[in-house]
Amino acid sequence: MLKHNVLLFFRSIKKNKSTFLINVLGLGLGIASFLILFLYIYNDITYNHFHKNLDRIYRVREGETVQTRGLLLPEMLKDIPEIEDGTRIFDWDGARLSYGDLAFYENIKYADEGFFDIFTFSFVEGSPKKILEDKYGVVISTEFAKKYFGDVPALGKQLDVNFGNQFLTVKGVVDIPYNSSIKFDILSNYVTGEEILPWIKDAHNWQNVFSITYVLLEDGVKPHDFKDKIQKIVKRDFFPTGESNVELNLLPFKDYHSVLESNQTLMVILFIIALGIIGIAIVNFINLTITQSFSRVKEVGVKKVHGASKTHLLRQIMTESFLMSLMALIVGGFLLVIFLPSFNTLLGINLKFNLFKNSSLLLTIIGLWCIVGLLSGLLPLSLWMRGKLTNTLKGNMSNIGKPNYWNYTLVVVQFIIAIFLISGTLLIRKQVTDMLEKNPGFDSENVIVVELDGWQFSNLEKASDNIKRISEELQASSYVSSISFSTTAPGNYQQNYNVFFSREESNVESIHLRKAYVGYNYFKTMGIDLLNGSGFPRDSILYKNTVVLNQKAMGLLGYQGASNQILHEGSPDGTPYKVIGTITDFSYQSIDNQQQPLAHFFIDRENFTDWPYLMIKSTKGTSLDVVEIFKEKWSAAFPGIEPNLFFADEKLNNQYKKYIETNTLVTWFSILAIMLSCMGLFALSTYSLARRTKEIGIRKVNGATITQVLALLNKDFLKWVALGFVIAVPISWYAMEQWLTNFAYKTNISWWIFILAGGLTLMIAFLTVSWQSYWAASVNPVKSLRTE
Amino acid sequence: MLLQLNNIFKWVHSGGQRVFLLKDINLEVREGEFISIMGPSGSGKSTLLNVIGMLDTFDEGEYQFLDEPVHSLKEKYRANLYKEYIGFVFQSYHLLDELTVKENLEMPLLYKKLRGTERKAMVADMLDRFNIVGKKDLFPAQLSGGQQQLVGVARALISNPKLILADEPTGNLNSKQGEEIMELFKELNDEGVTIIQVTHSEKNAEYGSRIINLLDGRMI
Repeated sequence: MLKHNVLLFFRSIKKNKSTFLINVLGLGLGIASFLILFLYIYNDITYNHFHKNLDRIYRVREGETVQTRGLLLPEMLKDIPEIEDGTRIFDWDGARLSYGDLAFYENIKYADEGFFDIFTFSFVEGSPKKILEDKYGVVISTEFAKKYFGDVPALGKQLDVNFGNQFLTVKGVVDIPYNSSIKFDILSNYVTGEEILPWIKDAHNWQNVFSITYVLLEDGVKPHDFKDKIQKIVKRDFFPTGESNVELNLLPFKDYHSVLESNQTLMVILFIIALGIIGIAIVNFINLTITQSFSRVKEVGVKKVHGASKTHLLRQIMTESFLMSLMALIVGGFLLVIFLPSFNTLLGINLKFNLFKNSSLLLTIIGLWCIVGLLSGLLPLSLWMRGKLTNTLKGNMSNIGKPNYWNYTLVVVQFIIAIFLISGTLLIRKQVTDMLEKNPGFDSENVIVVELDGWQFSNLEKASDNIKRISEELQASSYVSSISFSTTAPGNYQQNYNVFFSREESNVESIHLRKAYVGYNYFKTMGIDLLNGSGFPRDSILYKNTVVLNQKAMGLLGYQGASNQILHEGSPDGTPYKVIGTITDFSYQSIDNQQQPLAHFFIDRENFTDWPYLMIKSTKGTSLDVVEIFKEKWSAAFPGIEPNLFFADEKLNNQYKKYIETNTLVTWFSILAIMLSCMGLFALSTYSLARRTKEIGIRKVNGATITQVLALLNKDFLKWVALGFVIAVPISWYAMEQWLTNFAYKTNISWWIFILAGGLTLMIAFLTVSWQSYWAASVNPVKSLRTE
Repeated sequence: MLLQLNNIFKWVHSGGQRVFLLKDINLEVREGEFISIMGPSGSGKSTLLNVIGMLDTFDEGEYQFLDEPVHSLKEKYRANLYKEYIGFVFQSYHLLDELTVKENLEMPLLYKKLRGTERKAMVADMLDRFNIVGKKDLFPAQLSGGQQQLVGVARALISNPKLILADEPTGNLNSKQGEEIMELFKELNDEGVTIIQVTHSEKNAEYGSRIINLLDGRMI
C-alpha cells in the first residue's frame, strides 16, 4: 500500500512538474528564510550559554557604569566569603606583536588567574588549569593563532612585543564561540600587563574605573544576600573616602547580553517577521495543494467505487503531503546552506546550521514538517470526502466554494508587505546615494590622507626624521599645493565632547563641543572654507589657547563671527581659549549623526610618528601622481612597510556601509515577499479559475474573445493588488518618516518611490495571473463545457 | 433472488417543485440475468443504475440486495456490500492515468486484506484471461479505447463480483470495439455473472435476456 502511494505520488509530480516546482520552491524559500531568522534569534537568546557556571556568574557594576575600580575585586574576595572566585579584565591598550615577518598592532587583554575557572572556553591547545599563572604566558584565540602561525600548532611559540623588548609565550589556544560576550584575541595576566604597560599600576586605585569585573558566587547565593558587605567596601575605600555613595550592583551574566548588548525590540520584530513569512508560505502551500487536489477528484471517485475507505484515502494523502513537505524542507535546507554564508558576511555575524548539534533547531524543523504535512493533507481530504460519489466520478467538484474574504485578505496582506519592502528598498537606496553624493564641505577629490601607524616603526627618532623629510619634499613638489598633520580625519573625529563656558554675550551659558587637534594648514589642506577670522596657517603667530569653531557652534553660541571671544573649558574658571576663526559645517561624522558643534585646537608634535594622519592636497587632477611620488619616497625611507593611503572621504563613506548592507538585506526580503505573494496569487487564481471554467466556456461560445476573457479574469485579481497598494502607501510613508529621523541629512520621500514599487508589484502580479488566465481563456470551449 | 426494488422514488427540488428522477420503480433481478436498461436522455437510466449500485441514494421505497434491506443500512455497511458483490464498468473507462494496466487491475485488491503474492496471482490470472499480458506495463493513454474498456471490465471482474453494472460501456467505442465488449459480456453472463447495462443501442440491448424501458423516471 505504501509502495503504491509513493509510486503514485512520484508519477503525479512528473505530470505536474511546474506546479510542483512552484509549490516546493515557494515553501522551501519560506522555510529557508524562517530558519535563517530562527538561527539569528536563537543565537541571540543562547548568548553565553556555553559557560558551565553561567547561573553563578555576575558582572559588577557601579550604578549604571559597567566598569569598576581596579582595587575593588581583591577587597570583595577578601571580605565576602559568598563570592567564590572573581576576575578583572583590563582592556585598554595594545602593542605591536610580531612573529617572524608578521607584525600587527594587537589589543592585548589582561585578566586575573580566576578567569578560566569562572568562564568555560574550549581549549584547542593547552588546558585551562593554572594557565594564567606564568609571567609572559598568553592564551590566544584560534583566529589569532591562524593569523600568526597558520595551521602549525601555536603552543610554545613566542611573540615579540614592540621590537624585542619582551617575548610572550603561547600557553593555550581557545575556540571562542561566536555568541560569547567575552572575546579576546590575546589574553595574559596582570603581572605581564604591568611589564608591557607600566601605567596599569597607576590606573588601579580607588578613583579610576578601568576594570571589567566578574564574580562567581557560591551555589545558592544571591547578590542581595551580601549587599551590605559590598556597600561597606564602598564606604570604607572608595575615593573620596567616606563620602562616596556609589551603589554597587551585580548583573547576572546570563542577562548580560539581553540587557546591554542586544536589541530586544529587534528580536521581537524579527520573530514576528519569521512567523509571518512561514505562515504565509504555509498558507500558500496548502492553497496550492488544495487546488492541485481538484484535478484528482475523479481518481478519488474511482478508488471509492473500487472499495477505498476513508482510512485508505487518508493514508494516501498523508503519504503525499508528508513527502511533499519533506521535499520542501530539503529544498529549504539547501537554500539555507547556500544563503547562510552571504547572510553572515552581510551582517558580520557567524551563524551555523548544524542540525544534529542543535536540538531546538531539529525539533523546530520536525515540528514544521508535521504542521505542514498534517494541514496540507487534512484540508484537501476533507474536500474530497465531502463530494458526492456520483459527482466525483464525473470529475466534478460540486463544492468548490468561492474564495472567501480570508483568502483575499491574505493576498492583500502579502502585497502590502511586498509594496512596503520594495518602496523601503528604493528609499534606502535614495538616502544612501544622496549621502554619498552630498558635498562634504571639504575637498574629497584632491586630498590624500596617509595613516602613519606609529606602532610599526622600531626606531621612532629615525622614523620621525624620515616623515618630516618626506613631508617637506612633498611640500616642495609642484604637484602638491599644501600638506598638514592631524590627529583626526573626516569619519574619525572621536575625541572628547567637552563642556565650555562662555564669558561673552551669548545665547547659552555653556556648550558641548567636539574637540579636534590639528596641525598647521589643516583647513587649507583639507579644503575647508574659512568664513571669518583665521585658521592655523604656518606663520609666526603662536596658537596656544586658541580655537576655531564651526558654524554650528557659532550659531548656538550666538557669536557674530570670530572676534577673540573667550571660552573656558570644563568650568567657568577653566582653561580659556580665544575664538580666532569660523569654518563651514563640513561633514566630519557620518551625516546620519546630527552635525555637532565642533572646535579645532592647534597642536604641534615633537616626534612626527605621534601624528596619526598626514594630509596631502594635490593640485587639481594630479592626485594619482602624488600617490606615486609619495609611495616612492615612503618605500625608500621605510622598506618593507606598506603605506596606508586613502582619499579624504573614504573613512566617512565607510560609515555608510551599514546602510548599504541594510539595503541589501531589505532587497532580499523584498524579492522574497514578491515571490511569496505571487505564489499566493497563483494559488488563488488557479482556485478561482477552476470554478469559472464553465463560465469562461459559455462566454466564449457567446462570442467573447480571448482578450475580453483575459481582461475579465485579471480585473478581478488586480483590484486586490490595488487595494494592497492603497493600504501600503500610508504605512510605508510613516515608516520612512520614522527611519529618516535618524539622519541629520534627509533625502525627501518622492512620490515616484511609491509609483515604482506599486507598478513593479502590479506588473509581476499581472504576469502571474495572466499565465493562468491566458490558459483558461484560450482553452476550447467545447472542452470546458463537455463536463456538463 | 439477487436484488429486488419496491416502489422506489427519487427526486430533487428545482424552482420550489419536486422533480422526479425515478418514479415508482419495481424490479426483480435473479442471479444469471443479463438486463439492458433503455430509454431517451434524461429518462433516469444512469440514476437507476447508480441506485442499484448503491452509489446514489433514493428517497422512498425498499431495496433488498441478497436479502439485506439496503434502504435501512448504514452508509458503511452499504459500501461494504457493493464493494464485495458489485463491479462497475464506465462509459469513459475511469482508469487511473498514473497507473499501468497491471496496477489499475491491482488497485481494487489493495483495499482488501490480501497478501501481495495473492494480489499478484489474481492480476496475472486476469491479464491472462483477457489476453492483455503484453500490455501490462502500458499506461491507459497508450491503449486504444477498446483496449482501455477491456481493462475496465477486467478490473470490474477482478474481485469476483456477483453483479456487473455497466453504464453505456460501448458509448465511447466504435462499432467493432463495441461488439467485442458485448461479446465479452455475453461470455461472462454465460459463466454465471449477472449483468445490468445501460445502453442507447437496440443492437447491444439484444445481447441481454431482458430489456427495461424507462421514460421520465418511470418503467414502461
